[in-house]
Amino acid sequence: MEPLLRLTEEEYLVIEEAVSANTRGRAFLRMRDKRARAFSAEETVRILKEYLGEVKISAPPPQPATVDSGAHVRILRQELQEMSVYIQQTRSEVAALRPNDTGNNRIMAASGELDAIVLATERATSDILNAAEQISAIVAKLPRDDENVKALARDIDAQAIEILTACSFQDITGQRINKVVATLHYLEKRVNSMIEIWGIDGNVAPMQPHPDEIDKRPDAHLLNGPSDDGVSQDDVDALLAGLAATSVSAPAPAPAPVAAPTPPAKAAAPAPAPVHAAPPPEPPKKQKEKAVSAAAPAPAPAPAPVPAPAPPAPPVAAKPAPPPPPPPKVEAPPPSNAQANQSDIDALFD
Amino acid sequence: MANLQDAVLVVDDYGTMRRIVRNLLTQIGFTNIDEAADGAAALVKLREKAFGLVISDWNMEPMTGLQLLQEVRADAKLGQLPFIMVTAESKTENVLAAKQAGVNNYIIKPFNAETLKKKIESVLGPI
Repeated sequence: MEPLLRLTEEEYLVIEEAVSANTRGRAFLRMRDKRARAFSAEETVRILKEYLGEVKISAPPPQPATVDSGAHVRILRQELQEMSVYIQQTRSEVAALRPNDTGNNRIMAASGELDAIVLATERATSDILNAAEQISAIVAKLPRDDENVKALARDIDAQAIEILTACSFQDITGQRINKVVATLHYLEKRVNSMIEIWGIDGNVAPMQPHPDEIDKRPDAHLLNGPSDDGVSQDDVDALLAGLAATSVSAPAPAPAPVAAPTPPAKAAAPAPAPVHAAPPPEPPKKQKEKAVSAAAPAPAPAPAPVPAPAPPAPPVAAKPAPPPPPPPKVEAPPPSNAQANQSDIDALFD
Repeated sequence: MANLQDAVLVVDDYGTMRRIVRNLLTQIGFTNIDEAADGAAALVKLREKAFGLVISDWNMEPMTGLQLLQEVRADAKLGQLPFIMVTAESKTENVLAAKQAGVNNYIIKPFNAETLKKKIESVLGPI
């Protein structure tokens, strides 16, 4: 059999240079290196385990003549065991960062949260700007005959300008957060390439969090903080209204509030709750909330010492207290369209 | 002496900032204010219409404020257009690069109305 050809250092360098002369060649070398590294990581663990096993089996019984060598073997075994533990631990830590799915990837979740912060501050800043602009617009309508009023108007305007300029924080914080997001993306890439190098597969269990990191509060599983995919206030109102109807008409057998999207059972008794007694033409609550939050129209609740033309008051969820309501419909409305005002919601918590 | 009727172009990729600068300019007395969201869009507007002042952010995509400035200075028609950079890039090397590219003044974010007014006056003359 012909012996394997061995290259000299010079020959190796020449070939390497030739291969890395083009993009495909460089890609080949990178992939080859990666595979070799992944292999070596796996191999290291395997060899260590094998070796530890062998040492265990072949370790000579303690004899006076071999005391020193036995001690060395023990130290060696201990060192190798520690190395093995470290390697496994690192693999587990990397596995914990692994994007098994989008929901579990901590890095992606963190950048998602930061993106949400940027959006939220942008919206809030826009609302503040609207309000400041409205203040300026109202001040501009003030009569300037009186010197006192004039001075007052000037002061208010100056403060409105202060508010405007202070809003530039959003640009600065946005840029800083974007930098952090970019860093997180970079880290994510590095972790992914580390995972490739380590050749971690689905069999490696992610590391368990440290006991101190575990939230021990009984409702920890419900505490997720702000979320973009949560339900809207309308949904909450509808849900609570549906529950109120259920609790008034018949005691609910089991407190399963979350699973209440299906219409509650028909209310047999005439429900005295005012929830459903409201006259029908009320606008949906979402519109009301928007009308309040959008600062475009002049703020409604202002007692307005200013002779500004009073804008049409935005629809308010006032209870009109109608004359004796017609006998309420016996059937409870579907929760998705049900409307509840704040006092009805409060009543649920009394 | 600054002419408050001259058109001013505000260039920033953050709508909030454009709005803030627009409000401040209105407060100062400018009546003709236009906006662009990046350097490329600004350049199109600058070539379509006559402006008396550009107030531009630096960090934008695809064309940055510095690139816009360089394009403006390289353009025979726009070469002398007053240009103020308003940016969070506050390193000396940034200021020097902008100066070298021909910026007329440089404002670091965050800034206030007084600073903006002062810088405009230093470029266009008293308001």
